[in-house]
Amino acid sequence: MDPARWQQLEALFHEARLLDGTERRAFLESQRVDGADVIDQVEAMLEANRQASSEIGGIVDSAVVNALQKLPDRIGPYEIVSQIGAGGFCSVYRARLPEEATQEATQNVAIKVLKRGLTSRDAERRLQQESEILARLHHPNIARLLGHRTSHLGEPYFVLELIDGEPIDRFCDNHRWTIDQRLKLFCQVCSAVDYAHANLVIHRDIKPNNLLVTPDGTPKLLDFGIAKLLLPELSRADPVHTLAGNSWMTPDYASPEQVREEPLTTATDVYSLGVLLYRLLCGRPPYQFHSRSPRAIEDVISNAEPPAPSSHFAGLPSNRERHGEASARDLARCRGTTAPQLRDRLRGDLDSIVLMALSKQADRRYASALQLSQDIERHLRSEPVSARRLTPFYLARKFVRRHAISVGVAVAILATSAAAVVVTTRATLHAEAERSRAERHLAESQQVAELLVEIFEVPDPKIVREGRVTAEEVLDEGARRIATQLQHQPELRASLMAIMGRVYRNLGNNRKSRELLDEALAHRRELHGDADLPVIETQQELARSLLAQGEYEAANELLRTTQSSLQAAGRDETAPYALTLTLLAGARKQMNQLDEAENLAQQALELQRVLLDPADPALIESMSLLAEVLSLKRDFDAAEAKFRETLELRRAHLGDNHPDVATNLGDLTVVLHGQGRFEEAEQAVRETIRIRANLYGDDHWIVGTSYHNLGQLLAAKGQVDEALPWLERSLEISRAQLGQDHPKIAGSLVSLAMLNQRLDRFQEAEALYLRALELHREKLGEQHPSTARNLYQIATLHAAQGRHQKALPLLDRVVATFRASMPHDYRLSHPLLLRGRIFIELGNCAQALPDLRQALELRQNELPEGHESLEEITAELDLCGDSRA
Amino acid sequence: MEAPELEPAGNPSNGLQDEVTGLLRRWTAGDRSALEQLTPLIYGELRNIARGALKKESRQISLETTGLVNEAFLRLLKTDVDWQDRRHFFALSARLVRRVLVDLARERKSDKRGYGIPHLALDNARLISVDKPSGILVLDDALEALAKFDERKARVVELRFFTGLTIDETAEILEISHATVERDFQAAKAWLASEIQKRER
Repeated sequence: MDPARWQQLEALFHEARLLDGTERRAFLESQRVDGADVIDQVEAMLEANRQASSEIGGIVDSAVVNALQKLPDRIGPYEIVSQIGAGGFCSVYRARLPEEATQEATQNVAIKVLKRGLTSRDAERRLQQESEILARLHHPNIARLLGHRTSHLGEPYFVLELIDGEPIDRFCDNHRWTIDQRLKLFCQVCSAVDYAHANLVIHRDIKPNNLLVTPDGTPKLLDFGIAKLLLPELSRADPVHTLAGNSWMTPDYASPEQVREEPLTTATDVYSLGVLLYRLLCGRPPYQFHSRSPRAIEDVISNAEPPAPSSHFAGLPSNRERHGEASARDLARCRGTTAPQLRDRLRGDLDSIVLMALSKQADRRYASALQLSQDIERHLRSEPVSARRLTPFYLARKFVRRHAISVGVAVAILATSAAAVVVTTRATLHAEAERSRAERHLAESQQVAELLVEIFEVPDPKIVREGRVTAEEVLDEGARRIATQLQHQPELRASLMAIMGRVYRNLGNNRKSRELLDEALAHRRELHGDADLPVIETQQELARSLLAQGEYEAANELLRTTQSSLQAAGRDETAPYALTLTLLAGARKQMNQLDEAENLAQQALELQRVLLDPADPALIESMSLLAEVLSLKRDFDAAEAKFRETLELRRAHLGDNHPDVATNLGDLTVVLHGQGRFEEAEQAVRETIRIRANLYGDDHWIVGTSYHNLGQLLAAKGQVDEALPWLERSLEISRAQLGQDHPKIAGSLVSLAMLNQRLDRFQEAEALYLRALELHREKLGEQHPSTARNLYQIATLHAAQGRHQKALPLLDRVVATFRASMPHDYRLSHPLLLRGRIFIELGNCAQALPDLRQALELRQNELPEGHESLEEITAELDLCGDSRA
Repeated sequence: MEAPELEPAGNPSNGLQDEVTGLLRRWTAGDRSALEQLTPLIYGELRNIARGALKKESRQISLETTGLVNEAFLRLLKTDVDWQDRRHFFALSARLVRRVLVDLARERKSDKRGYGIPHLALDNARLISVDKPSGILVLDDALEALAKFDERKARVVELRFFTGLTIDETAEILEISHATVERDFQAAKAWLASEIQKRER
């Protein structure tokens, strides 16, 4: 530019810059300068000035970011092969899963990730929205979304089908495709766009660079980066404008409403398809822009009438050709024809179709991409096309004789299709919830699968070097990743945490299980209402872990919360409510509130008998819990009947070797033992051990429980020497797996102490009893029957050694405890009898009598007449001169 | 145990600093080849700083060219520069950053083709509509054109955008008034932006 002219420009710019709209225009018009293009240029500068800083700053910033971008080696589990694209805020990479991870050659994929260093919430939301949009679209001509995830660095990214192809215009030219071939290809593009519209997505950026054609000739629509979801509740604040500083939309394909920044409908895509068709047919853009200022662009697109595609081949070399653009001859050659032939081919139908799609007013265009392609298909079949419907000459020529009829038909068709549109839209909206839920599940399962791939890779080289990876290590890694990588999908994260919480419990790691379930519950409470299933289910799982951990009070409290939430929501006649009752019964059972437990289990069972299949696991669980409670209440016959029923159901549905069958057999053992049927009990417990050892290994705590029971049985049968190693083994396992202070340990300690006592190893027995007592007091409290029973055992130990004065106060406490909680229970007879016998020994018949009498009474309820024990007590009462005996 | 190798006495990076200072002087004296030698040194340092910054804050980093570039230079020079050198320093810094970014953009462009995806040049595989890989090249061209008829405005833009100097600092460096810088900057960037829009196709 010559400096004088620049000075003029600059001066005008500075003066006009300070004026506003109308003043500015008046000022510029009043200027007498040689050549209108000075004014044009000043206008362009003024237009550009508004965004100049962000425009230039954006260029420099993104150049810096690009300069500093190093190709990452990996993103998530994917190996980065190369970069295939970079935009204002995203990088797109060609990537693949490493072969060693999948054991087979893997397909390349495209990964779209935010550029490192240029992260903004808008960009992140944009990326998220793009993947949400893509997740809705499954069409052979749309690049598929394979997953949306977050990398180990916390960067969100998504995985796409990789398209190795050429932009559609270049593909057609390079392959010298004919007009017919191009039209058919274009119809496929229309079907993809129409499909997107049917799924309430507008693409908004249809152009050759976003339409790649694969070598086999399949067009693929990609880059939904500025696409928009039409559902108001799902679409987010539209961040396109906030990115304007970095983005410059190609104006050639933008619709009039788009350059005017008006609200967009699917008609904008129809317009862009028109531009694309224009270009495919004649090889030129519909408009020429003399200036690239937004105002000039808006003006041209809003007002200029594009020349008909055929007009580019009207004979004389055009201005464009003189300016170095491809000649009409070259363009025709790329279409396998000559310029005159091409002109004839385009003239008429195709000109009309293209120009109709390019109507300035959206409602003059084709109503849908489908209608556009249907018109093209009609043209290909030499049928009249709707684009020319309004041309009298055309009408006259094509169906003059059927004029009246066709109008009538057209009206009818229009009415029908309008109705159809309403129905379709409504159906679409209605189906929306279902579909998006299904798709979310699909996307989630894809993510779970990928997460598993990552987890099983186990990147810690130390673990790999040791050549041994335990399930627990894999889980730990998984838990870590879930916590760190899924921040953007709270729902998925909570689900996975809940699942893993369950798995940890099954592995016997109750502490970890509880941690994960606690966290899952917290997340789900944020996402759902108190009575919603995800919250309820998590509470139930957490309660199970608490029960497994021996935190019975806490479990009870939590379940009470669940119960009230369900009641408050009016959901107290549902399966989840029944299950809550069952779990509550379990907690109460552990807290030795047996009547409540029985009651709750009965309620649950009644509900479940109405709601569920008779073989439903939840129903069986309630029944077997009820049986357990009954057996604790020493109603052995009823308990046995229930346990046999559940055992049969479980064997039928689960097979002979299922953990639940083992548990059932274990419970039956206890009942049979209580009934004094030791042989049958021993058989049952050995079967339990066999199943459990197969399933869990022979050092799992649950097998330990069976060892304990077998030991007890053997002891009951008088095989004390054989019993001892089983009990010791059991205790060892319990300590290793449950920790030193689990309530179950106390039970084992007592059993072991009793055996030692029977073998006259009093010192060992006493030490074991005292350790057990400590635990019982701490975990269950002074009033718990197990604590009392522990005290009773210590009293028997003292008594056996003749230390009556030490035994008596203990027995007083035991009797008081039992009388308070279970005054009619058989077990009360034990301390009473012992105390009575001590009194006799001390020569105190007066004090002995009431104890002996009550003991006899309690046992008479339980034992058959003439039972040895009853005879014995009667004899003792006689000895004391009891008148009633 | 092996004896540790002894470090030479003195600041180990003195050699590099001297080299940079020498190259700066040669370049300002008109030796164009000095710039060729200077570029990789500056670029390497830029990368080091950026890497550190990326590592430190991983995603939250907002890249300020100013900070990066000035830090790169100051690290290399490490000495108090006198007034004359300070002017040279900023002028050079702006020029260098521009040069580095342009060269890298060119390199990337040819790099991409080098990845060799069958059936398409990488340019074809653009997946993103807002893609402006050559934006810096267009800006560079436009700046070059501007410098031909108004050298001072091109310098103003360079100093403002490529080293992030304020209006006042720019005025100080170019020894012109604050108002002049402001006017120059307004006109230059408006012209550049309109030019970029015209060229960007």
